Amino acid sequence: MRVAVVCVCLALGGCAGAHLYSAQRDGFANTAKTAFAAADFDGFMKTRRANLDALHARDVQLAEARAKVDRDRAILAIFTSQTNWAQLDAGMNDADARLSVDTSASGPQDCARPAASGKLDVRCVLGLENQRGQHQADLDASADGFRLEWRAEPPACDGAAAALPRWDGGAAPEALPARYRAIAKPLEGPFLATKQLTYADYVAKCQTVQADIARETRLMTAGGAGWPTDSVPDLYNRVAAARKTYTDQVAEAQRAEDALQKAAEALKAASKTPDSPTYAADVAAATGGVKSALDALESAGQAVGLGQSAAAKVRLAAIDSFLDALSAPAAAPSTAGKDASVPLTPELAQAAGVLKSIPSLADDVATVSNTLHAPHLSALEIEKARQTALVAQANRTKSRAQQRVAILQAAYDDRVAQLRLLRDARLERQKALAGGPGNSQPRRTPTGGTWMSVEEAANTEALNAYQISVYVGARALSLLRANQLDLDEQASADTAQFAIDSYRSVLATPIGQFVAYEGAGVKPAELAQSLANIATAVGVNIVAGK
Amino acid sequence: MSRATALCASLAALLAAAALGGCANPLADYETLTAKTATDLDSKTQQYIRDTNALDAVRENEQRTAEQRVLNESASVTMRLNAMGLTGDPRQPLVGKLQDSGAQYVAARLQQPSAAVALTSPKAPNVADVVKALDQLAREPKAADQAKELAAYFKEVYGDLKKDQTAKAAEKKVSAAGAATK
Repeated sequence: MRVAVVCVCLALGGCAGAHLYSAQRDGFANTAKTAFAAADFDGFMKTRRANLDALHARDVQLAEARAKVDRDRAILAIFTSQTNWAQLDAGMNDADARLSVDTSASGPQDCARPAASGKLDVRCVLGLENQRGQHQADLDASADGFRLEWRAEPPACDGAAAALPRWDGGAAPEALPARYRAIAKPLEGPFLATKQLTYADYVAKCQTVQADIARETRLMTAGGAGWPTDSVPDLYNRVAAARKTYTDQVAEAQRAEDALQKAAEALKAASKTPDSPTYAADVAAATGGVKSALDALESAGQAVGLGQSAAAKVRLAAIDSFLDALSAPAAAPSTAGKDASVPLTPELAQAAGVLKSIPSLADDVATVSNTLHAPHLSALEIEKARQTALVAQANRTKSRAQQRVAILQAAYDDRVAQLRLLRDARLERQKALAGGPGNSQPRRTPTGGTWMSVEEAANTEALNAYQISVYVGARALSLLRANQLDLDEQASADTAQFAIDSYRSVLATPIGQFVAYEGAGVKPAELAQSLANIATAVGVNIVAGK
Repeated sequence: MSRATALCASLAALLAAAALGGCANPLADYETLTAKTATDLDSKTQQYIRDTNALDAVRENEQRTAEQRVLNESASVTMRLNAMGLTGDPRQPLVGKLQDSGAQYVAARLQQPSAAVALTSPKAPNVADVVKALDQLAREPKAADQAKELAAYFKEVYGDLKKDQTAKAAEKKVSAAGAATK
């Protein structure tokens, strides 16, 4: 039987597919496969991540210890041989200078610019922060209502929110962004009215939050670029810059994805008219359009990985289309060293346009009359694994970009908490300073616990708020450094992870093929035995294997 | 020529072609390329371990220095607090309350750190065995040598079959001639 196969192969395709078995080569191929499967890449990267986590945990513990020492020193600075409450004022003044705020501000407020001292009026910072916090909570609740009603994500509430169309009264949903228009258009009566209500509520609340942010930004940027590092306005501006970078990148990727969608539709449309005299030129032009759009998408929103992820997903879908088509009965066989072709459909033509943008496959994709010349199966499988690794890496990049914003935001939030404590300390200290003989009724303070004069009680409460503010501030700063370092280290490990995944993707398929190829060789003993059988049949005495 | 003879002739031709390289292994180029790729992976993994070990060592060293500094400052603070206790300073209980108050605030509002654990020595994935096997596969002479031997073998068999058929034909001729002379 095997001999017959050899002869058929010989007749059909020269030597292609027929080869002699070698136990030694088969052994090498199998050893390679077994060793590759046993190589513990996942465990290796898991150890790397665990080590990074351990190093980070140690940094966090250090931040905690550092903050406690700073706090204790701040307390002991007051309690020298005598109790020196004036030292409390000095400490708070130092903190004000570092944070570029005036926590003792009184009198009229001007929240449009820094005070004459060049520092920010703490009442403005905290007032705007409180207002925005309340409005943000209202917006979050409205967004939940929107999701429930529309079964869709609400529009992004970012710098472009002012341009969101309002949908008032009984107006038709024509002005809405396309994805919401598609949902609202078929509706009428109360169904349409509820949609309108939730949409209008969300947009109004989003615009309120954006107005708060604009007011805050105006105050925080009034000092130009000259704010001291890690001061309140400096951190605010860093958070805002990181957030803007993120949203800009997301928007850039979204635009590139929309452009690709249009290019893909154009290619599909061009492929539907094979009888047109300009068919070939139209398809070629549309294919070029898809390639350009994909290239643009891949480099769009790079810092957040979104373009790369979207491009890889489109390419994966195209590869899957080809793999499905090649496994269909109508496809010409694809064997080692042999080309394959599949019947051409508009969908496959669209997929082919996408494959043309992948360098390793581009040359193997060609339209031949009504069939499509496809890349070799193994090349498709290797590329599929590579694109899958790209999607995973892009997802990690996106997650790191979000963490970058979150780390800065957490540091800023801690700074605001520190400001509130400092403000409380100032108010208590002012009470103590205002205390006099006529206002000396003894009282117990929540912190002190013992009976003390009004003045002493107020000073104690001022010290309590102040020492916590020292703790919170020192901790926030150390944690910011530690978290940023950890993020950079984790991002570096992501790159290593991607490199390993890419290597694995280009090694796994060929190693599997080597095993299949070597195992399928014709064994000499089988040939000899077949020959001996033939010889016996014709009356010649041959000893098999001689 | 009988079918069996023809088959043998074909096999001999096929194997001779294989011996001469006519039946080249279509994966031969991949073998070399794959062996090279695996070698790259192996060397880059080793390099990554060396680099990250060096970086981690620097970071651990910095952490140790910073921890020592905090420890010294903390010891100095503790000494002063102990002194307050020893001298019966009435403010000492207040200091303790203030410390607790700060810790409670942080515990209630801020994220708590997880415990640090010792680093684990990274174990490189064993790519060396993959490299070795692929290298051997790429270097191992293809089945051409075996094909050469088999080609000679089948040629011999083909000769025997041909001789046998010639002998049978001659015998047939002799028999036919004998019959004609009778």
